[in-house]
Amino acid sequence: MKTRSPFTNRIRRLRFDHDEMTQQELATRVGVTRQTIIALEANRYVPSLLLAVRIARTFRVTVEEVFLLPPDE
Amino acid sequence: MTPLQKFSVFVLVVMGLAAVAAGTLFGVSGDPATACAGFSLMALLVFGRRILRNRDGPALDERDVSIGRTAQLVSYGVFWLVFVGAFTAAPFLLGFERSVSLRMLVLTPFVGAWILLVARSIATLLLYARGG
Repeated sequence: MKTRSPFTNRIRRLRFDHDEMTQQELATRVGVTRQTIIALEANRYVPSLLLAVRIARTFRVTVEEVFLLPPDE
Repeated sequence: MTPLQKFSVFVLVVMGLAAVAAGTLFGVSGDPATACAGFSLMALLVFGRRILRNRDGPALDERDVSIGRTAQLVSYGVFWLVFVGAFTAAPFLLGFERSVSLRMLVLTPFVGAWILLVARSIATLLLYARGG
C-alpha cells in the first residue's frame, strides 16, 4: 500500500517554469537526493518545514504557492 | 535507487550468503558451532560503507533518515517477536527439563544479529516502496 501526502504540490510545474530545472539540480540546491524530489512530485512524501522553505526559496515563491492543502483537510 | 536502498540490498545478499554458508557447514558437520564459521561471512558488511556514498549530493537526506529510523524500530519489533519469543516459548513447547548444548548456544548471537539485519533491510526496502 502506497502512502499519499495530504498535500498537492506544484514542484514539477515550478521546475519547468525555471528554465526546465532538472530534478537533480533542484535536489542539489535544496540538499536532498533526487529520489526525494521524485517522491515529493509523486505526492508520496511530506517534507519537513525546513525542506519546504528551501524549495520555496529556490523558486522565489512562498511555501503556500508550492504546497497546497485542500480545504477539507 | 538511493544509497540506503543499495546498502539494504547489499546487506540482504551478504545475509543470504552467510545463511547458505552456515546451513551448508551445519549440514556437512552436524555441529552448530561449526556453522558459526559460515556466519563469519557477515564481516563482508564492512565493505558496504562504500555504497553509502553519493557523488551527486548528500548520501542520506531527511527522508532516508526517517525511513532508517522506522526500519530500525520495525526490526527491533521483529527481533523481539522472533528471537526473544522463541527463547521464551521453547521451554513451554519442549518442556522445562530439556537442556540446550553450549555448542548450540554459541550460534545465538549470530542468529540474533542475522534476524535484526535482515528485518531492518527488508523494512527499509518496503518503506521506500511505500513512498517513505
